Amino acid sequence: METTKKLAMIEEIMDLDEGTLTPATVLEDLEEWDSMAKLSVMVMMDDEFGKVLTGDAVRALKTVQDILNFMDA
Amino acid sequence: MLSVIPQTAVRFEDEVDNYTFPAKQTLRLQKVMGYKQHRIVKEDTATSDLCCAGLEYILGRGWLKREEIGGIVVATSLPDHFIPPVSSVIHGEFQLGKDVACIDVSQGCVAFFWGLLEAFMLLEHMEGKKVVVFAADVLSKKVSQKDRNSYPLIGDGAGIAIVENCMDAGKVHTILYNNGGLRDALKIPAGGSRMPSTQETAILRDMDGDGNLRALDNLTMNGADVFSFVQAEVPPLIDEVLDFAGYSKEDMDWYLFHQPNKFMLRKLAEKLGVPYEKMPMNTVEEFGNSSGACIPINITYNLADAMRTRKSRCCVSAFGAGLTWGAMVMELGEMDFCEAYYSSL
Repeated sequence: METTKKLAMIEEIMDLDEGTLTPATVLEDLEEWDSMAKLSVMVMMDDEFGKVLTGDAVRALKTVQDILNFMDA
Repeated sequence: MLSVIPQTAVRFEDEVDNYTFPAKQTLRLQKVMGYKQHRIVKEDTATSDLCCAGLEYILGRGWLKREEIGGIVVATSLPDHFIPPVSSVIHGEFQLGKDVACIDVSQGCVAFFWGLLEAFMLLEHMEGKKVVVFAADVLSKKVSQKDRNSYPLIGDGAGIAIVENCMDAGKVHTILYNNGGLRDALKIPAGGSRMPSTQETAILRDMDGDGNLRALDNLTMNGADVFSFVQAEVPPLIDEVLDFAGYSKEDMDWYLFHQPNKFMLRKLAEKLGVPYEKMPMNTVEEFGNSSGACIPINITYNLADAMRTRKSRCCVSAFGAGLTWGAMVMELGEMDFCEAYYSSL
């Protein structure tokens, strides 16, 4: 899957306009990175990538790149 | 089966300004989680009040006679007092006989499930008598109104089931698991013997640095941990209990699960491959998550007619504080009564 498509998926979760995120974006700087967004990322990993993201792993995510890495891991 | 619903319904939209978050962001929760309103008891209403109002309603309609009661089981996480047990309060209010067994079970979301298990065990020793199971909670009193993590979904309520022996009834297949290693995921830190309540424990703080304000006296829930636990543990549990009972997923008429929120239930249904229609998940939007009372509220709200008129094969599952998770496969139906009682409490 292309990076732009993956970024679009993350943007959709957080209800952000397309093109808002780059891999370097720091998650904590985003108002939208709330508990709901974290749950949604867990669900996306499970549904779309067949990966289990634990509560600890979600809390360890710092940048958008960390989410992308997890998708590819 | 009866559920007792508090009178006051608070709309989610009216509480958006309670939180430190921008309104737009909070309203997004409404869409995804299915929040609309939740039912909250009045300030002076205690757990036993919901139980007593329900029992009075049941006795008043002749669905149960006082002398038929052999035991009272109250499953709750917030009793009226530490001492005496809520079951003793009910016993006293109704002036029941001295041979009536009273027991409280300290449980959260799995309360109704555990209440039933206790009733089954008591009934082994009570031929001809009935056990009244109450699953009741008023956790709105323990959740900070400025905690967007927990407050929008919390609800109060009680569920009451009259359980009796029936020689030709089918088996109840049950599996129950625990993982105390995850006990901190749902917790009220202060107020017990570990950390007594003080002025200090009542101070609201942003404990997790995420904008949610709560005190040590309040319920704290780690949503991400609870969510990943449920998604990982509940689907294999359902497979296991169905296998134990000798049924396939299609054999079940209903999947009656604890009602944490619509989002979580939808994901569970998808993961299990169970159609949404077989897993009612519309109670959080009307009543909130009333902890142990969720399953009876769900049944009385959605399936009252079905439960009175016929028998259905049901898979009942509860999961929550402990962390504890369990499932039962059983036939439910031909109940003498099944309704939601909208109280004035």
